[in-house]
Amino acid sequence: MELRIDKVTKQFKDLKAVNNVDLNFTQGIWGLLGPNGAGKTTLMRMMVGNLKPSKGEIYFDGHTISSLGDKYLDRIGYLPQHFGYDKNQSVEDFLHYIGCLKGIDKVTRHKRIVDLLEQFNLSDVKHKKIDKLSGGMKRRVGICQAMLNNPDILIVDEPTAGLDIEERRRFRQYLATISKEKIVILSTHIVSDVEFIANYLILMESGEIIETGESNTLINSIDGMVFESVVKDEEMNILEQKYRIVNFHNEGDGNVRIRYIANSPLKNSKLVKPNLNDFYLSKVKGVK
Amino acid sequence: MDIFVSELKRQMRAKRFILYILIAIILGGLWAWFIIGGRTEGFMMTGCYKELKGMEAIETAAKDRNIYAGEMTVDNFQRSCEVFLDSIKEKDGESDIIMNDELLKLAVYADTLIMQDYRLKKMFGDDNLDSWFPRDFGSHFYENEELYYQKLIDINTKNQAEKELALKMWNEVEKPYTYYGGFEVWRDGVEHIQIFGFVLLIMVGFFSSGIIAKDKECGLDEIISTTSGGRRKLLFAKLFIPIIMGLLIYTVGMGTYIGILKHFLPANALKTSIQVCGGATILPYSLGDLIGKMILFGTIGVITIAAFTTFVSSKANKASTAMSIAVLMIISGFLLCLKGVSDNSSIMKTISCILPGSVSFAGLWFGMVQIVSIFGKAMLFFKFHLFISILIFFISLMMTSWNYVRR
Amino acid sequence: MLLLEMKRQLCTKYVLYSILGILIITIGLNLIIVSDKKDIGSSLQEEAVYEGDIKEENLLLALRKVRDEKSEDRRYSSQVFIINSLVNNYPGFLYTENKIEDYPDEYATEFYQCWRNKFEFLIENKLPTKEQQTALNKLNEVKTPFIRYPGYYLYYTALDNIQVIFIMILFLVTFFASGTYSESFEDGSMEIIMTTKNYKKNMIIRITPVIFYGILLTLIATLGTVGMVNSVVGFKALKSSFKMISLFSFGNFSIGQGIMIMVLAEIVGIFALSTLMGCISLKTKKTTIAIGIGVSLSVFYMIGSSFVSIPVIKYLLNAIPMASSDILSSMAGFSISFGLWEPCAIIFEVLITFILFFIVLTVLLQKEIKYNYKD
Repeated sequence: MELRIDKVTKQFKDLKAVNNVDLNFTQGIWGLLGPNGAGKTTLMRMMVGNLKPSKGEIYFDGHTISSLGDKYLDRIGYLPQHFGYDKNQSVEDFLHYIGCLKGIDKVTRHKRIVDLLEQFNLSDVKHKKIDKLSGGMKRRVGICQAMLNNPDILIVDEPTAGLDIEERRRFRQYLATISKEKIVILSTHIVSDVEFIANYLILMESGEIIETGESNTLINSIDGMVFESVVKDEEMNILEQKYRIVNFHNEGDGNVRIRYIANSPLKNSKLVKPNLNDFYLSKVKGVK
Repeated sequence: MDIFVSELKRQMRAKRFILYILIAIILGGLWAWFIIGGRTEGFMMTGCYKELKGMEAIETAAKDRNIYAGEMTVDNFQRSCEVFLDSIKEKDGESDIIMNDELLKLAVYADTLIMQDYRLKKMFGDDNLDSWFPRDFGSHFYENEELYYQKLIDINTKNQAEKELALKMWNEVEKPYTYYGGFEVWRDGVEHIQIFGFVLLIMVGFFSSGIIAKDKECGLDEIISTTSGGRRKLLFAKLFIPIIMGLLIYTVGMGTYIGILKHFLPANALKTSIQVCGGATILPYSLGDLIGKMILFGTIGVITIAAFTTFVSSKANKASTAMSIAVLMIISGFLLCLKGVSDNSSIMKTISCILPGSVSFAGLWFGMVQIVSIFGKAMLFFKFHLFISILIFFISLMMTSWNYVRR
Repeated sequence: MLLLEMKRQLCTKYVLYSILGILIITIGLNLIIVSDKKDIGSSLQEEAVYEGDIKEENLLLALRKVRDEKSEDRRYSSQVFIINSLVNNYPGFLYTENKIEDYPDEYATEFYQCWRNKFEFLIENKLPTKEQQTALNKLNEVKTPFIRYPGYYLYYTALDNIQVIFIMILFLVTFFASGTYSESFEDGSMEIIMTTKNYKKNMIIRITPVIFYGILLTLIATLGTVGMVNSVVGFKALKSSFKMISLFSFGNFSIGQGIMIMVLAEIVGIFALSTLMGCISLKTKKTTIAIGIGVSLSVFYMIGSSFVSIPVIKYLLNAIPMASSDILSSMAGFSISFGLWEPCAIIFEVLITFILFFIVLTVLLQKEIKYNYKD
């Protein structure tokens, strides 16, 4: 199973939202990282067929998704950034409605909805209107609808936006559970969302892919470049211009502990093990 | 089918469905009550049946007038002419009509004669306008009708084809005319079909406006469009649910209205020729035919506005925008049709035809001689309006399909 | 803040399209009048011979020329047209002749007396007894002679056109005003606005752009119509007495002033509608429901006013802002309402609606503010 993005460009009037993107998705969780406005949503909307690329093609198992049509749609699940629902529908009614649109027969649909509601801890609220649920629950309903057809490709756009830490953790856990033998593409600008669950990472900025590969390999690529040091408060401005400071902590007495990326470290710096956050910040704005 | 039922359930959820249907029924009932309950009867401001109102007035007047009901023979016209002229008493240079039983029974005939006399004098510029018609006027009723309508056709047709069609229609009018007591209330009831239809049309516009736009507004469309049934298969439901709901609203509302009228008003009055109903017309219909045609126009109007609003809904991002456009179209259609008739302006009439849903008011084209020529071929104007509406209906369906599948 | 709010609400596609729409409808409707009158120039010159005060001796001369000498000269026929109105407005009342050959000289030599006689007759026969005295007083206030300038008759249709466009404008204002508050509730921006210091002020000024929008459309429709008609008949026609449009009407105003009364009524209607819709928008918090209620109310007026003649219901109907667009028919008639000339009564009622709903809106906003613990 393979989803290939082949030199895809999307142009909106004078804005190139996605520029000549080449990607090859295989089974596993793919974290699509990038700042706001990087083109992640546009790319995802093209992958689900909601937008037509201005240039290039998207292939699923060797066939263009436009030629596959409904066959392709039957194999995907999609949770958009702004999860929309009918305010007057209950959780169960909504899932039945989407299941029906996905062409799942009544018996299978019923069984599947019961299973998913159980799995996502929503059985108790299945008769409640979606509008009355909490943000986290709504998101879970969103992922339920995406999972209804047991898709081979699950595309979720900023799924944790607006959720509290516990809900985010729980959401990551759900994704990790359901990701077996699937291509899961998860877009976010929150690094911690994908840090522990993504097998692969894609970094996007200004419509272009700036890095892609296995998570560990990418993180390891900056091994030996991440340091920690305690500096004077007044030095911060100069240091910020010279180094890519990824974190800092006020130690008191005019001292600040900084974590930074550099090829040649400051005096008295301690080499530390890089994490995804370091990698992301080093790439998105470049090492200074 | 599963998708259709699923969408139908979503769109016609109990509360909303009941609200629309209930409003249609209540309006239908109130409208019929307004027509029947507020009815008063009379003849030439003589004050007969003055104390009576509603069904009592209708039944009493109909009972009197039914003595000479049925085919309106020349003999009856002549008789009414004599009875009417005998009932006029001159006093101080002014004429008063003294009512009597016989005149009450022949009131419809007398009324028709007075109307014919007025029309003829208007058309031919008779000198004796302030005098009543001659004593043998009734015996020439159908000859005079022929005279009037021939002239009317001459004036209101622009070419030979139009004239031929107008004459054909006029020749098909059954003579002698027919009437049955109570037709006056039916006539008012028929006129109100259009106005009540206008209100129902707005309700249909309200319902249809959100069919697609609401999904876009709340973001649900983003999910729907990524499902295998969310485009082509759902399209069928999106296209036809507003039409079904529109027809339902119209059937229930208009059904209640007509049902109440039929229950209370004499059924045989529907056999009355429309030439007796007041306005001049060359169309060979009875009041019953007229109701049928009005309802047909209303039905076509409803499906056209449902289809058009669905199209607007597929283009607009907000249900309120679609609703505004739909209402504006209906109101404009209504106003321009009225203006087209009052100004007798062919440009105005043509513009009003193009407005979706305006066919509900095509009954306005039944009066006088309303014929249009297209590429030299003459056509009754209401048929032309009907044709344009059906065209708009199909174009709307096609445009919606194009928009929805390619979104 | 007012300017920013104006910019936010008015710089939209909806406003642009509705301005264009009203402009197109205005041009379209009036083009029909204007295009029919391409060769009107010579007629206007002929009619101009007797322009100004309508004198009875001129009417007599015209009547004799047309009736006895069968003259088709426009300078005469245009005057006989006025005598025609005496007979044909409200046919069957007092004067029943239908042909000019039957008109006695008296209709011209004593035109104003005949007019007064028929008007009194109409008042006695068509108005309820308790209103007759007020009507007769109003009649006594009418000054003669009437004034006429060439081409005034084009305003028969033009005024009708303005009325149709005014109805459409009130619907457009209904749509526009329905989102005054509800749209901000729907898109969530109200959550932010509520936390600002000038929240209360912002809430109140939100109806200003709606009023501005309505007035703008009204001016476009009015100036467009007047401009197009005047391009054919000149400005003078506006100085003709409104009696030339409707012979049996009260007041001493000209057609131009009549149009101003229509505009004034429409503007009052826009004020009332903006506050009324503001209240509905604030209460329902849903634009579609607000549109539904607003449209239903206006349609209720349109239908109700055409068929209902019960005074109490008429008073109620006249308080609906849509009544303001229908002022032409009241101006053309001679009805009395609340002891006042009907157009005044309608404007007065609509004004009360405005004041009432402005108070309601203020109270509702206060409640909303208290509800949000902002007071």
